[in-house]
Amino acid sequence: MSLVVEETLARYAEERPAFEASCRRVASLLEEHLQAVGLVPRVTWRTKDSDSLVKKMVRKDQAYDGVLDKAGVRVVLGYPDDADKVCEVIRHQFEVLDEDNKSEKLSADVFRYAGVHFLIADPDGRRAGGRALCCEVQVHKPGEALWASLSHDLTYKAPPGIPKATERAINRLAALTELIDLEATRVRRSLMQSEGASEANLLMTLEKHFFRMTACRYDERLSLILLRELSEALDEPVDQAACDAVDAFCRANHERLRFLFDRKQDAVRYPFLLQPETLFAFYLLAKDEFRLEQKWPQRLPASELQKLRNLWGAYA
Amino acid sequence: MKKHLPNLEMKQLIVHEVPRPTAGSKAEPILSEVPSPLPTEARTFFEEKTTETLGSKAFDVEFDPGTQSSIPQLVTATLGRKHGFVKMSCQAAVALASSHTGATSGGLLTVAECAIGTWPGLLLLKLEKEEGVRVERVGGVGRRTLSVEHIRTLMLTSKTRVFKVGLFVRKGAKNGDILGLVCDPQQPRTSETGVAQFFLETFLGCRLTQQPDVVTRDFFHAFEGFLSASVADPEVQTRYRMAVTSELASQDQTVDPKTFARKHLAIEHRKLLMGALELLGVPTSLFPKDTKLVKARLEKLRLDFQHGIHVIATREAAKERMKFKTLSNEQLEVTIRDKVIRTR
Repeated sequence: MSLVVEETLARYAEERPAFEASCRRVASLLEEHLQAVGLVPRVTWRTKDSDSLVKKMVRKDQAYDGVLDKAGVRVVLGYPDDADKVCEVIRHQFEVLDEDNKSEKLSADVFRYAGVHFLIADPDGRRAGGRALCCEVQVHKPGEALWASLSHDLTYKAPPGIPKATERAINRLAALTELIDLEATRVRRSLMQSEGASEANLLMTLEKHFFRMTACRYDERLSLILLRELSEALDEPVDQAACDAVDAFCRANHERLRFLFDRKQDAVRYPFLLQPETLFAFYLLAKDEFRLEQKWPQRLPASELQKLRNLWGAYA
Repeated sequence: MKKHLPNLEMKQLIVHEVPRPTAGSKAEPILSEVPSPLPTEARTFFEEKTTETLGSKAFDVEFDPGTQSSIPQLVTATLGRKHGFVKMSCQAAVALASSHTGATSGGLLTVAECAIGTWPGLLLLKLEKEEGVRVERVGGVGRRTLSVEHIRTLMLTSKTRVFKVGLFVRKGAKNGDILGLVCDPQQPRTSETGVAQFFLETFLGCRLTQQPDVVTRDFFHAFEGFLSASVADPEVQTRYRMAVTSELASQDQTVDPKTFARKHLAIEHRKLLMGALELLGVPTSLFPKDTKLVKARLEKLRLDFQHGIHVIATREAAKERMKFKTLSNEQLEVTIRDKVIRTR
């Protein structure tokens, strides 16, 4: 392939705003769809730098239209075991032109980057240079994201013919990042099953619904403390049955809760509303308001309960 | 309608001054010509203050077909989009001014166009001007201090109790589809309807939807149902029964079932009482009281025992001279300390 650099750069400069609009839109839609299922991973987007584009065309001997990651979106998960759910959302919500699970291509004794890449059609049918635009979406577990950033410096910049010991060290690092994801998943599951993890389980149930209402980050430590104290008003153990009951309540009242969150996201006036345990407090209000008021955590002012009562229509 | 109050959204608001009438002549209202600017914070404050008050203190009302008031017609026409909002509010201010007597304090009539979901609504608030002192830090050149300013033009504060509110929403196309809530937090607990008569009847042209005597009777029946279904211990039953008769016989003209439950019932019974009330359509929040349909039941406590013993006592005597203790097998030990004046 003979590359005329100036022509390529000029064409890309002209088309780049369309690629930018495309990946920004994909990122925004993806965040929305993920939030709807209670997931709020870090979603970033970028268009390929002009010089990277040209260099990639030379390195891989590709034509301009053959470079498919000019518009790119990256999803970095907080929990490794959410990866399947994210991939399912992408498959369901976008037109997937190609799916590339990097781990499937690795032989058993090779450790390298193992993320999942999707090539999706522009959701609004944008075109540039007479061609339909596409966008690459990468789904990374935390360890894969770490490896992706490390490998950029360690492997891309490595000279050809590196010593065997160095190559072995690179393999070790890649294996380590894979191990990070596996261990994080294992530890999390183990924690969730351990004694005293009931509040954490409940928080996971609540978090799923909370993130459907708002993308705001909350104070997890405060949540666990308050859930422990609010659970006193439940008058029964916080077991799976209790989590299921809270889950059913949030589902049944989704529209009502959504309305509240849409209208009352005033962090100054309603600081407590922007914590997932508020959903639990609403559940307790509906279940037995008298028990809740008797067991209301001392560390919280009574006026906060009053505000929640008014928001829920459970007037004193 | 109360359960829908958190969904109330205020669209626009207009305020008219309705001065106190002077001796011998009605005061003319000072009418605004356009709605007031309503910044988001003020809108939120208004929404929250009115819904909280209505939620805990309002009674269901309906338009009185025999009323002389022009408000029912104005509200119906405005909610049916047959009458302009500003024009309606001006006419309401004139109506309020003419319903004032020399004893009525002047104030501000605030009319707000609002909605509860898809139901259009109108709020009518009678407020009084309030005074306060504003403190503000003043900095800049020189020594730091606080400025203190006396303000006489406050209308609604978080502590305001002196105001009356009427909310009307249209849930359907028919005239009867208009639901109303009225409250008057400044009204003493011993007032007959819980709302100033001039505001409820003369100005708004409304009457209470549930007759106080009927709702009081239903409350009493629901309470009896709760006792037999949910309270097994005869001593507790007796204690609760005495508490409810005492509540209904008090001078207060309203009953607040939640307050009653908090004061007299064990935690495990409170929710059960609310359930029993809801089952019979009795409000779980404040309602006006009239005991004429249950008077006889309130005057005396009657206990019928399994083996032919009957005890009848006046409420006061039972409270002062009888003691109850639950024994095993659901038996109740009753101790009466009094002088026998006759045996038959």
